[in-house]
Amino acid sequence: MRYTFCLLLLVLTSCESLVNTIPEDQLPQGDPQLTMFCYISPQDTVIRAKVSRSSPAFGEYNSGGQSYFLDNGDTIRTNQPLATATVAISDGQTTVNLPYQKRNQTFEIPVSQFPIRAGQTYTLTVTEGGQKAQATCTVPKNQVPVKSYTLDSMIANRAGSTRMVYVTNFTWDDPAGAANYYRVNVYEVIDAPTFRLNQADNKYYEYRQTFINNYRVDRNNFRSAFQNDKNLDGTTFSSPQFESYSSLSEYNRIITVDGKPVFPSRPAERVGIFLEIYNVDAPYYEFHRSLEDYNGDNPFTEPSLIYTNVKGGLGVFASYNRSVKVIKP
Amino acid sequence: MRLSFTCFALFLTQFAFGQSQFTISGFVREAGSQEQLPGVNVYVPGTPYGVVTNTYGFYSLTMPASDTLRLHYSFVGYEKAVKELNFNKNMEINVQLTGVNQLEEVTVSARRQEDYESRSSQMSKIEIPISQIKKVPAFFGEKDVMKVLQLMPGVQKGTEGQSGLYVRGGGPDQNLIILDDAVVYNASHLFGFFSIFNSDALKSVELTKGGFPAQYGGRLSSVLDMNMKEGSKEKFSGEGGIGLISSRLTLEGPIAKGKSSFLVSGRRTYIDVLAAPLIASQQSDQVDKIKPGYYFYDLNAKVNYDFGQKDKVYLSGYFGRDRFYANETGPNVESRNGLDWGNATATLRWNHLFGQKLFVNTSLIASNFNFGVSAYNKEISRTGGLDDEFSLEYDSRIRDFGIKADFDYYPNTKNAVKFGAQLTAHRFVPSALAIQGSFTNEAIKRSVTPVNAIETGLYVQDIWQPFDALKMNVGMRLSTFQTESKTYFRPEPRFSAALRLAQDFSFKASYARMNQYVHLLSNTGLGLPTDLWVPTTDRVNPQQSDQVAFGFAKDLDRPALTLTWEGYYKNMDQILSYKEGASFLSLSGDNANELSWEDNVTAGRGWSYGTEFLVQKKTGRLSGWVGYTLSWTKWKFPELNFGETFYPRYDRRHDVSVVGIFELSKRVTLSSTWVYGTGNALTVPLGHYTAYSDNATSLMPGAGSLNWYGQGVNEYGPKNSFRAEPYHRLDVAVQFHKKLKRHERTWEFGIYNAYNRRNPFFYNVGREEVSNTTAQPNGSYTSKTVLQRVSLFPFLPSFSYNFKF
Repeated sequence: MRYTFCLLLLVLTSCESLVNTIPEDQLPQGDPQLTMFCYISPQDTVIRAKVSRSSPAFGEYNSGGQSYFLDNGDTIRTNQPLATATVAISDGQTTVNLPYQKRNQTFEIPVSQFPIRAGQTYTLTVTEGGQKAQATCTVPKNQVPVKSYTLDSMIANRAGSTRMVYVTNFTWDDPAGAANYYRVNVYEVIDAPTFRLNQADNKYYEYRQTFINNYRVDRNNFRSAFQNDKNLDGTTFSSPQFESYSSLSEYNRIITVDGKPVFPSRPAERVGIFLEIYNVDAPYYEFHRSLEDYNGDNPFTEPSLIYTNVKGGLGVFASYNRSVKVIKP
Repeated sequence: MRLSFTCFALFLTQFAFGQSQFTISGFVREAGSQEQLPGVNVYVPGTPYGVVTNTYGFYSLTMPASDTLRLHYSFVGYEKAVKELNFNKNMEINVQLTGVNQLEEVTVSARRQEDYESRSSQMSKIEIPISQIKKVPAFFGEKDVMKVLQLMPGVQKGTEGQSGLYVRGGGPDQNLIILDDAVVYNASHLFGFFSIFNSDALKSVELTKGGFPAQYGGRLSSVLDMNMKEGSKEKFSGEGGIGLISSRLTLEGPIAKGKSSFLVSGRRTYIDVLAAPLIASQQSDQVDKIKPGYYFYDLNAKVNYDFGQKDKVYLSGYFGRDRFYANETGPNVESRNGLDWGNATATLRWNHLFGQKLFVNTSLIASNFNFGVSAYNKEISRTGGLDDEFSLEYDSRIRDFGIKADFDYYPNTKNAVKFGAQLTAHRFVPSALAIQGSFTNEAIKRSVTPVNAIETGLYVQDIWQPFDALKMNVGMRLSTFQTESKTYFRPEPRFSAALRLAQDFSFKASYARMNQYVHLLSNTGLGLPTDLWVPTTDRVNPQQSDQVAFGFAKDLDRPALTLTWEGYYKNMDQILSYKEGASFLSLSGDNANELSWEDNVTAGRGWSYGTEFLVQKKTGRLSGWVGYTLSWTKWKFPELNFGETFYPRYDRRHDVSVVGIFELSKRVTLSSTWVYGTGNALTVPLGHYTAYSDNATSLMPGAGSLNWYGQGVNEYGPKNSFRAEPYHRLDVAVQFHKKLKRHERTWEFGIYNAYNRRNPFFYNVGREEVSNTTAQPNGSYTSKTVLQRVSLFPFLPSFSYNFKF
């Protein structure tokens, strides 16, 4: 009888939940680390760095008025910018501090005050609260130009209506004898009419405004916007197919005044289509690829790790050398 | 061919001595069923003369003449037979061994153990009698060969409940699993919780972890060789069982008495059948009825014909399938969705005897594995318009045709030679997708070009005993793999030796090189059917391993124990893994000109070393074993963990298993197993931060804002730097046997995880609200991020009814 009772007890306890929380003292320990993100280029006008500190993965958390956003249904807090950090960039000879800019919550300095040169190695150092994080990158030597391109128009179904859009792809020659990494990008600049109400006479006046239309990589294309020359050194590379998602006619604003439509005197015009080749360094490529592959928490797949080249911290300090080809259809 | 063979034979007979020698040969069979017995020791006590029967029960011994020769035939689980002969001419002696009935086994206590581990030159080999497999406690009472093998040192399980074998740091894809000479690609049912092998249909199970004989090749880590029973040639009989998960039935009997017999064995689960009325009654008030279900079944069949002493023919086959389905029917909707996979194998074998010394088996082999996803959905228009139809078919398959000839040649006392050749034609269709429907603009047909490949193997090996205390197996296998435009040619030297140091005490050493030309891509580590078999190609190299092992073996008489201790080091090159973040359905990659799995894989190196200790007692009232493994496995992939060395998920420092079977009385058998293993190496988050990527889209000129995109990401530290909690579990079972008028029955009651240990199946990052949640002024709240352990199987009782007639 006693044994029957013991057995029953065993069976009952087995009905408990199969999900158990791991006690805090058995959790993996991760101390908060400095994080920094900074991309430099001879073609950019400003050097910017985002600096923060990571938070432990586990433990109590008070949202206490901090900013957070949703990611996959989980609340993810954004890390507070560390306005008190010291951020310094050095080219080995000169070192300057980047002052904190409240508007973007970044540390910034114009390139005019600290030039970025191709082939030069730079070091970014962040110190805050006794912690120090440092990373180094070397700006790629060459601007790699577009070798050839194709431009076609296509009738496509976009957001429920049929439009004529441009599709383009292009090639470039990989400089032989060096490891190269690339990122490619396409956008068009549109000079479009717009109408603004003048409060003084309560009349509409026509103005011109510049718009940027970013092209997107065709999803059925298995070539990526990120490529490298491993096993392909010195060969000709091809970009994925880029497609515009809006047509020029969408930029022609028509307003209605006194029940009558008013057309712009001059329709929207395409200033040019910009084909960009970023000759990026390895940290730039590895970081962006690892972020593309990032799959978050899924117990059934191996988590992918986010690349970092920061010693004593997390994040990335990377560079690129960009070439642009402007085509006017 | 004939000439070279003659030369070869001549060369070997050079070893013959001046003294007059004769040959004795024949077959060893089981009394009653006439089942041929492999692995039987045939020897003359007190002399170095001895041999082991081959897979087909054949033996051949060449010895000096003797007036009073006492030849012993012994095999675990059978009564020993002794033949007294006036050995002065060549003889053919067929022997029948009587099986020790499990009810009588109790009375045969402390029988002298005859299969001395210390006498064999083979090391790192595990043989488990089927009768023992049937007594070990099993998950849900389903007896499983693979799960019993997991209890041996050097062989590990993956996660909770999985049947895959991890042998000496190798993955479950690195095991050559052969059933009657046919390679089985996916050995798991129900996502790996059960293996596809029905132990009722099996005659022998043998696992080799190292020191591989030259006749095997094609996988890096182990050879699991299984042979199906032939079926009794004397009388019609059957056995079967009814369990919680499935029922099984095996029938065997003579077709022409003494000449030919058959065996048919089937097994099917019935959760779907039992649950169907329940699901239907719950949906009785609904318009659209959904019928979900899952089942698996397998079928083994074998027939054979005995043309006499010289020729025998066997035809055997396996067919098994798993299927998940969910069908919906209603006035406006009709849908059928399914997921199914399975293996099919067929083998035709012909044994032929050239004289007394040369035995030949020729096999024709076919093997097929396929995995499919199918979805069909139709929405019937109420207004009489066009119906909406959609269908999706995904298919991945591998198909082999092979031919193989194996020769066993026994030229003289000191040599036993095996040689042979094998040719396999593979055809791989790694994935094919077809989508059709009225709401996609055009039908999508995406299919990877099938890859055809030819794999060949040519081998020769000699078990050579130059003097009494030293026995060695020297072999060479030449393997080739022809794929796309490339042909890989890889020689594989093999060597193993046993040196007797004292009475029943040997030192053993071995070296083996193995090549693997087919690869399994898995991003889960579970035995999911989505795991993809792919071939070696122009770009993807074969995997290659080198293993050295050494150890000691000691046999004791009283108690009848075998003690083995082995150490090994294994290097594995060009092993494949998915790149981080890649998986089977989302095939995309950089630098790719077309959709290709080759862009999603990355090759690296792995190495494993460790030591294994085993004490085994195969006979007696109390039988079982204690095994302990201490091992390390490490991986280094240029494209994983940023090129740093890491522990793969199933690296296991300590692994212990204790198995005990006790015959309490003629009618009651008690059994128990206890296992302990270091936790898996996993990657869990350590911290959290926002990663800012360069968006590379252009902004309005002069906008001045930041063109970066912030994404919350986890910091994991180095890959697999977190250790799961150790796994341990106790299983117990009791069997009640009874012989009734017409049949014999066994009731079995078992408990899985008897002390209800919460073993980790996986870890999950979850959130818990902190209980004293009071609204704070700014509307914030307090919560907690926690790590949760998810367990799968708590204390699980089971029972089954088994019968035999």
